[in-house]
Amino acid sequence: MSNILECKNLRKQYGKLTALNGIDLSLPEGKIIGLLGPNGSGKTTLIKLVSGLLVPTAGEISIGGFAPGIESKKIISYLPERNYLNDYMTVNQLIGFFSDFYPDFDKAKAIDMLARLNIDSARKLKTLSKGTKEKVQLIMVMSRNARLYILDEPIGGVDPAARDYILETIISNYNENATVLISTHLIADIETVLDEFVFIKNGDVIMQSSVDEIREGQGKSVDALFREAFKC
Amino acid sequence: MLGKLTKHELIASGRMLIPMYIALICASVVGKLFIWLSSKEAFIESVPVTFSKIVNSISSLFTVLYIIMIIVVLIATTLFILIRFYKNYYTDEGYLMFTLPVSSKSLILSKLFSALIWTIVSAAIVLGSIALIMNSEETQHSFKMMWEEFMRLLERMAPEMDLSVGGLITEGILVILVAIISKYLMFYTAIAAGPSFSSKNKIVGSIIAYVVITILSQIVSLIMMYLLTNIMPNYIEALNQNAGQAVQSTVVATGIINIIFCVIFFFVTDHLMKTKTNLD
Repeated sequence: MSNILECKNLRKQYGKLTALNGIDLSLPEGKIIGLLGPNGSGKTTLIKLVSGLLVPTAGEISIGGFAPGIESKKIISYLPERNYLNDYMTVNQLIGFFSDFYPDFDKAKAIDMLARLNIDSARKLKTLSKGTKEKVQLIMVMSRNARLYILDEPIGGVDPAARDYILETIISNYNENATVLISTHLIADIETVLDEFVFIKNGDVIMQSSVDEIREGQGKSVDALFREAFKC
Repeated sequence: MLGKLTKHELIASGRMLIPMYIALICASVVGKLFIWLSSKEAFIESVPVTFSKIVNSISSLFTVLYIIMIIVVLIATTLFILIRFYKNYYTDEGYLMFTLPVSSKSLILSKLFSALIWTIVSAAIVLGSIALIMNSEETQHSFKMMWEEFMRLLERMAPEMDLSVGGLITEGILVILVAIISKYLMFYTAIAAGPSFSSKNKIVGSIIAYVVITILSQIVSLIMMYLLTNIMPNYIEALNQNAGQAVQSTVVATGIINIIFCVIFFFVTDHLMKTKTNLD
């Protein structure tokens, strides 16, 4: 199986502060992968480098064979950890915006998902509650037929019921050949949907494995393993 | 993609600018009404003195407010264009814009095209509004005289500058456009350089960057002016003998310098956007 993401000796420094310490990482196609680590471990830096928001200090990144740039952005669907959509736009205008810039955006799918959640697409984003806004963002991101979905803390700010909906949306809306990379520190909540996980600590990848291997081989949950690996 | 970016930018900025322009037009119409009323003798005679006094004082108050409004519209247009650039690229909205499958050059150009269009629109609206307010037989007459005088001046200048009148006007418009473009690009460079000057407070960083860029560009343009006038060997001579020619050399030199600045600012902004953008 080929890899959708390859990082070689990837390094990122902010001044004297090292955020990523020359990591090597390969992510296969067709998997749901958890990017797990405590706050400040380098998760968001890695995600920003892959999505082309930051330039690495050293090392290489390849996404489906492309260096970060226009071509890589065409195949990555990225959900940042904040409200990044223009507040003054209506949901319909957002759909127009995404259809304009992403040829792989499935408008019908987005409309269908919004309807199932009873979100009125004529409403402006700023009139929606925080939770609904997050759902709209997720719907936009998951309505693309991308090859790599990168979701940064997609369940961070929502209640458990919304969490279930979000995870359900993620699993049922990506195509089999695509990879979903989910960054979070709420491991117990997403453990059941993960195929693989990557532990990241102080800018280093300290473990990458399949969830089944850990469960069957060590008889542990990823959550338990995480608590051991990152014990304070 | 550049077309789509520009379209979305025009819509997004028009959302704020168009209502402002409409307000100015409405104010001009209302103002015109008061001016017209207070000048109508039949009206003044037919209403009580207090009422006509009120109309009079409103129309003089309006004049002051109107001038303020014109200034506000012109400043607000530019300010809004710059705030859009900052907000759209250097706050949370940047997460959307910088992950679109478009080049950073397109991101800059789309904002620049939209800025140019709104600048021209705002100038047209302001001129139109002034024309509406001032329109009377008297002003029409004096404007006509001024215009004739202006054309006579152009007709005298053009041959001395080896240009037709049309050519001279075209040259003037081009030089102004280039100057506006270079000004906007200079602001963009300052905004894009903000994070490099201060990672904690990007706006403070941009202001520092703006001051630094202004000083640097003035030094550079002095040097370039010196070099350019030296390249044109008989510049001083021309100044004495042929004023038209000298004006032409100065205009062309200014144009060339501004074009060089445009290119420098564009590529510096592009480079900064690609390598120094660090969204919080």
